[in-house]
Amino acid sequence: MSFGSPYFTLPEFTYHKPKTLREALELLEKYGDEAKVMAGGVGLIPFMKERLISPTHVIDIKEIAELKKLEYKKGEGLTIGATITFSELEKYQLLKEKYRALYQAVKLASDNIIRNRATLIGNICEAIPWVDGPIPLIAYGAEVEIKSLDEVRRTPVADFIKGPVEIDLKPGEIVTSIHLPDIPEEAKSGFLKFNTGSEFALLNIAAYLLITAKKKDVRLVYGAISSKPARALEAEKILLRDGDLNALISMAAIKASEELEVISDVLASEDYRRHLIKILTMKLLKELVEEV
Amino acid sequence: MTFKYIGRPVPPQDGFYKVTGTAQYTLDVELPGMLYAKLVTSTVPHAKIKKIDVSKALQVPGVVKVVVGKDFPYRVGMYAGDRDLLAIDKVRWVGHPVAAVLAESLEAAEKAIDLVDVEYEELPTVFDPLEALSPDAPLIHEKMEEYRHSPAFRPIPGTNIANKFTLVKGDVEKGFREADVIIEEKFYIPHVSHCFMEVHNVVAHYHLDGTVEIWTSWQNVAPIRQIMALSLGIPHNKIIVKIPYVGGGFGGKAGLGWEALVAILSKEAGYRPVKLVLSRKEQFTSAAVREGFYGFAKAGFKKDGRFIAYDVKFILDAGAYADYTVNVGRAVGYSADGCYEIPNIRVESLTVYTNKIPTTALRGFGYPESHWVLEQIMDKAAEKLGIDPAELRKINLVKPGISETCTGERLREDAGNPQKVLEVLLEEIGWGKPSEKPREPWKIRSKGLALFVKGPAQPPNASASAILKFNEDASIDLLIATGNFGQGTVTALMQIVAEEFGLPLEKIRVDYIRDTHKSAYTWQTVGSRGLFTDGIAILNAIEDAKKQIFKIASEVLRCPEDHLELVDGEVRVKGKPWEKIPLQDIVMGYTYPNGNSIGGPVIGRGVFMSTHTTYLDPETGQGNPTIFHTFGGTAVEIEVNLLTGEVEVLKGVQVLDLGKVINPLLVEQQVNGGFLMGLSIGLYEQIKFDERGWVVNPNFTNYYLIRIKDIPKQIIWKTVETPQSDGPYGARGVGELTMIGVAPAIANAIYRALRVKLNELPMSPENIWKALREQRPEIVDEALKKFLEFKKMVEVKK
Amino acid sequence: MKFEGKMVLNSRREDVWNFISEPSKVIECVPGLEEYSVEEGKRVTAKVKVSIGFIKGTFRASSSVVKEDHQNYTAKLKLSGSGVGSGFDALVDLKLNELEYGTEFIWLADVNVSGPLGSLAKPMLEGYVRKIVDQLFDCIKRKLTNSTI
Ligand SMILES: Cc1cc2nc3c(=O)[nH]c(=O)nc-3n(C[C@H](O)[C@H](O)[C@H](O)COP(=O)(O)OP(=O)(O)OC[C@H]3O[C@@H](n4cnc5c(N)ncnc54)[C@H](O)[C@@H]3O)c2cc1C
Repeated sequence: MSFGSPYFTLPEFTYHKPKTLREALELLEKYGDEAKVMAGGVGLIPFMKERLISPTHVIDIKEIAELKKLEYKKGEGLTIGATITFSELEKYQLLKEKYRALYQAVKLASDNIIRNRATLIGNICEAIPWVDGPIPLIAYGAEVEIKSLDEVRRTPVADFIKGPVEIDLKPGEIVTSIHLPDIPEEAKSGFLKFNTGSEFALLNIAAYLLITAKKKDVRLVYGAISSKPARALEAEKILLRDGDLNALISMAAIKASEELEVISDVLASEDYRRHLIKILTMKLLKELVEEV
Repeated sequence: MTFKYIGRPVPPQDGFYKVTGTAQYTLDVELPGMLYAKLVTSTVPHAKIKKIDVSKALQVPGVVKVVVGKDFPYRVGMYAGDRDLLAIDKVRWVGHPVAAVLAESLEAAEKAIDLVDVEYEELPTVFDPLEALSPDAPLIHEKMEEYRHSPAFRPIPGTNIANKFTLVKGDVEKGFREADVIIEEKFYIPHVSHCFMEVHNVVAHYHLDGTVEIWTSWQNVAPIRQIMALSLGIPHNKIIVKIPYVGGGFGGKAGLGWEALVAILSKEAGYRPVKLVLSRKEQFTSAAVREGFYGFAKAGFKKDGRFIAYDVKFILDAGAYADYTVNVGRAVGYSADGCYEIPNIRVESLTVYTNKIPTTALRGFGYPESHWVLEQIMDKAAEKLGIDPAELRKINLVKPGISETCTGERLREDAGNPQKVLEVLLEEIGWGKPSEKPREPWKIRSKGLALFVKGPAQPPNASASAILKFNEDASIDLLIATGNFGQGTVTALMQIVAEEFGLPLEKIRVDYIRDTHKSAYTWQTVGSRGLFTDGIAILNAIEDAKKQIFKIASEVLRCPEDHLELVDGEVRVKGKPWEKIPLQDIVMGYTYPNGNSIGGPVIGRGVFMSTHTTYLDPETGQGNPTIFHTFGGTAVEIEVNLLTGEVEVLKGVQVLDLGKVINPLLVEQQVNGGFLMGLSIGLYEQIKFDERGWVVNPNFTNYYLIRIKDIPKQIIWKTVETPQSDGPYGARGVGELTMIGVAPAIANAIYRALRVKLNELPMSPENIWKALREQRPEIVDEALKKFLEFKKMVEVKK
Repeated sequence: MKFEGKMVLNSRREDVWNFISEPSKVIECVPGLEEYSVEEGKRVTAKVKVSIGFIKGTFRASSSVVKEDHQNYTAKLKLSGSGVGSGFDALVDLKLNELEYGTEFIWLADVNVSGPLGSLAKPMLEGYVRKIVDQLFDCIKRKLTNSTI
């Protein structure tokens, strides 16, 4: 993300490249507020260049083997480590088969050059309202695992992101992985991004749909609409009802376009965003329902 | 006549250096002892500078000096002469440079700019050019009468009007009384940036002996020297301007840039060389961009389609400095009639100061603006008259040899063939043939077109010259001044030389550096003029060199000069090709076996001077403004998503009357590039300002520039070749033309299909959606219904 | 963007008025203050550290009194400043109402923010402004109580 600034150079900082998680945590403990974790650097470096943050210690985690983790366990789910890049996820067959919304978001995020460096966790930690990563993760009910020298904790991605450039992370802490719960075979999920005439999304949306005779579970998540990703809870409820699915979809889409908090910004007005919420919700849900 | 080089797709000769990364740009210039300059810019739009405290900045290790505008209160400029080098006494926009830090390293300079404390006393602001015209609007330039402006312009001191252009021909009131159909519309175009890859950057070295040496990423060397000489009082021959390879210009590197400032900084720094490189953000907010534009048009037509009255008012939002934009205001004014003959016309074009970014030329130079208005008026009139838009154009097209333009210029007989351009355009786009139905029923397809004409907007005496030096092996060093910033003109010029001497292209060399000291002179490389003006100068230089060659050969071959010809690098006696002499035996002078010699090194010189152009009458705008008119047309087939407002161009066609295509590959590159630039500005680009005058999107994240995914699958071009007898091989210019028609053609396509007016740029999805919703809500509802009923989402996605 | 708020202070209206009429006293309550100077006409310039989410930087800001009406206990201030590539200005209306046991302090601010903070942080600005105002008032409260006891 670049806002534009007069600077070409970076502010001064000390660069650390720990080999183990413990080492990284010790550095974070030591430098506290003065330190920043760097994964791909795709988000961090521009922010530093533009003097929006000026950490005096940058802790590069790319060489920490423990964080290069990408593992699926049946019944448990998928774990994505902190140094896993978008490109690595894109090539991971299981993602395409099972977690389609995340797969589509990963594929649509930026370009190859960025994807080769950018990590999914960096994407979440950056907490920029227009990014794609958090949207499908929230739809799957994913959690982040956070470690410090004396604590391990887990928190849902939905709570972890508190607002623009604001996350639930204290000095001394690091996000080690994201955990996606396992999902039933019958579940469907998908992601759409509207970015015609924009680098980032004016609106992105992920849906998770489990509609069987026995169980119904629906999640609709929207990004780029206000300060943080949001679920359309009322719209989800409509989809849980019995009845003609096509009619429910259209009702749910209208509801979503009304219930969410939406703002105007440089990319789009509130009105247009609400309209897009309606259209994209219908489109995504229709596609998912049609899929066999 | 068959040619060896003319008309051939010779690849651009600078391509090799560019793709191998060996091309040298100003950015690559690093000199021993060089300092880095960094600008401190204003954070308020309009304010008196009360105090500038540089003490903390000076404490940063490595900082050598901090200079402020008061240190050198010069006024500079090309046309309006209204610019300062750094703000003097007051700032006029957010981004106005107020001070410059000079340091041993970029790091130090960047640290120091944050420590310069500027205290402002804010003044009332005006951001809207219409409000700026009101008598009680805050005055942005209090001392306009003191500015040294060119005689072609009419600034109005005491107001915010930097130039008032008026044009009157016929009697427009009478025209409207006689009209059967009257159309009235209002149009708007926002500010856009040139978005060249290479940002503005300059290295200057003020030497102790008073010589100033400058390297800059610019289009032309001559105006820099001229303006600096006039405003700083440095003799011309002591200013040496050098331009190496340039990463794009698009009009944003014409006139004078930052050279005068950096030269002064070099002097202030104790005669050490200084480099200034703008960041992209600074390029957006501290350098000049293209102006914002309002057009108010009233047009009268007879039932049979004749366009008989046109009354337009253009308001240009020129921002804080209008130095170059006053000429855009003039060009948009006298191009109001496009390629139509309108007997009664009145134009007023006001270039107005506001507290926004300064503005300047951009590819098309006012013509995209005038055509955005006119070409949409044509389609709206066509609808009201019940005449096909193409037919309405046919009825009103100028007839070279007979018609007069709105400036009263009688078009020369060989000015071009606009009728033919239109015919070819219609054929290529399949006018009248319905488009295929899109698979998604909430999308529609449609075709639209726009015609255009343009010539260079230049002073009447804008000249060019060329020098042609032979080397021992009869290879040639061609000294020209026309810029080399991606257009490829130089390659076409080399083709002319190779053709005329029958030499292989490899024997012709044009240095990549333009240098006031070593190159020939040309006024500027702008207005699509380079091939025409410098081409003519080169042909004259060739003529001159040939004369010298034939003179020597005639003595050697004992044959009158007019019995000689130049073929394949040899001078031959006509009809007796075995009586010949190779060029290399002549071009350094001829030496007889006994050592006696005649002639000497051959150097050809040639000039171009326009002899029939004039200033325009200040009241009526009558006169001859230009040296050629290139006619052309753009047609598009588009698909519109009625639900989201997205537009996709399925096919783009451009037809141009180029007189003679010297190099089709270069034309194709211009056509493709121009089409995409037109598309980008048409659909996406817009500099957005907030209520405090700050640019909201000074970056390529939020200022969207066309991407590879947005490129239409098919862009084709055709040429009609009506040679202009005084052009090189009959050729006319092409560069800017290729973007003028794109936006109006798209708007017309949308209007034809949906009767939805899009009078404002950009035609972004949101703006189209808004227009649809406001003007034809039933279309959106219908589309939504079809969308809901649609059962093949997955299928069409594939 | 318009924000407003109310606060009850445990001091007499006249004391509150005297306190806030003294720029140097108020400015010292601004959270993150690094340095300041008071010029003629109660114009204050200051350097203030801000942190919004993980964006951190220093703002150079100034405030001046646009209007001051002791009789009605109202005032209008203009604030403006720049930092982290951004700029802001604000018009703040203040009013003091006499209560039985103290003073009600009413404020209304019209804030415009430009630059990266404007594009990014608009939705969170309200929370941020509240936080700062709360801290500011806490400090004022503390100082008033200390000085009046
Ligand atoms: C040109 C461009 C286009 C882009 N387009 C898109 C797009 O289309 N869609 C999209 O979603 N995104 C897009 N992005 C954003 C990009 O995806 C993110 O910047 C990237 O994912 C960040 O990941 P990173 O590994 O580079 O993080 P870094 O830059 O290394 O870090 C980003 C932030 O997260 C923190 N951080 C990183 N890892 C950890 C950790 N393990 N624990 C704690 N804190 C951590 C850092 O301290 C920093 O504050 C784009 C960015 C650019 C520059």
